[in-house]
Amino acid sequence: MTQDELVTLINKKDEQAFDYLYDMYAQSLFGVIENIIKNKAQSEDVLQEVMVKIWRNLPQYDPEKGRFFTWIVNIARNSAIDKYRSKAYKKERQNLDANNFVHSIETHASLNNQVNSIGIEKFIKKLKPACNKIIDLLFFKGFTHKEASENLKIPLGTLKTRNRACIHELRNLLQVK
Amino acid sequence: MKIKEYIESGILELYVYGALEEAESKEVKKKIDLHPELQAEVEAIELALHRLASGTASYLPATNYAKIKAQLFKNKQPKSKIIRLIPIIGYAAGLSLFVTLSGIFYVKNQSVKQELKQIVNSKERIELENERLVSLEQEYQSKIDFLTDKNTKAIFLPGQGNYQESFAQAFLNTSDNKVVIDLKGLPEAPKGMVYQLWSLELNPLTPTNLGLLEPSTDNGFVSININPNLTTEAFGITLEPAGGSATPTLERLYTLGKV
Repeated sequence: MTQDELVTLINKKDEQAFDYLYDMYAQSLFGVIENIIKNKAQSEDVLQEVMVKIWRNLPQYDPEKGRFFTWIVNIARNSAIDKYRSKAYKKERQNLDANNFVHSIETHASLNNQVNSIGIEKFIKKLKPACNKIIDLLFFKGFTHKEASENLKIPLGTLKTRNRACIHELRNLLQVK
Repeated sequence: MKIKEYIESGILELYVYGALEEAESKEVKKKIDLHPELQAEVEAIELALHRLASGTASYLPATNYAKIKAQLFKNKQPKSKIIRLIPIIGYAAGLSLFVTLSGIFYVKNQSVKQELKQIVNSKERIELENERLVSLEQEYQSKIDFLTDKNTKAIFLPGQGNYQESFAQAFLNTSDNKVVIDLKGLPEAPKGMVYQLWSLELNPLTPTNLGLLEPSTDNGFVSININPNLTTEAFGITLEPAGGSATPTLERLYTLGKV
């Protein structure tokens, strides 16, 4: 199914459309949220907010501005960051990068009741640490490329090509051609 | 524009992240619409990130889905159709028919609701059970993966001294720096006591505490991470007072096995 077909289907807004949206994306949005909040129960609450938000704001999604996936990941990140900020820590977003998704996979694997991380763990560990950092900031934490380039102290152009190489490696590991 | 160069520039990845400014994003979208190769590339990038994100998530219980669904669709109960009665047979007859029909529909509706509730309940139970089985299966799979990993070595720890009946097994993975101990061959630790695992260097005999082997529900398996810089020539298990000891009590060395 193409993204446009999917959006059309979801826009019908019946229960089946919701099921489709949930089956397709809940798990990955949950991954994004957990990477920021690091607490399963609170992440579940945020995921609920996020799914409701996506559902209610669907008419505002504009395909000309970006991918549907990008739009919903952005909603998930922003809600998670709001939640994170509302917590006692009150840290700046720049401090969110203390732990990245590799850490979150390890935490989950050690909890022993997690299903999804087991399969992917061995792939992710093969990614270069520099790649983990870049993907974490740009994808999971939602930094703009300018913010990420400042944070990692590498020029924009280098960041772009390095990130491209990282995603290329990720695709090879996950066998997405 | 050379498509290949455009792809290699890395801008499509930033586009999928949402890391570009809105104007840049719109530019990219225009190009994607013109070139199917770009479309395919963007979809592949997205799929990889989608899998990565799902892969990092912990298990999402079905209750979460139910909660959202309830929130979104709670007000959308199916509406019963209103039967309009044209009063050709008189107001009284119409009214009595209406009362009778309402009664019938009410009773029917109640029993359908009841039935629906039961179906939903049993569906939830099945989902929960399924969830449990899926996670169990994954757990077993990850154990098998660990045990059959090429870097995992099985070490038998025979009983020592007065404890000839006891035994244990250690499965050491040198690339994960992890050891899994199977405790099934050890008697249950008496109250106030606990088994403790030691890494031993033999010459001279240097024990290093690896941790307590607390009874777990995990079929008698305990997994312990090992400092990669540690030299382990043998594993030993002693029985120590609750909380463990700084050095092993050798009189209560139950099992010992060379790596």
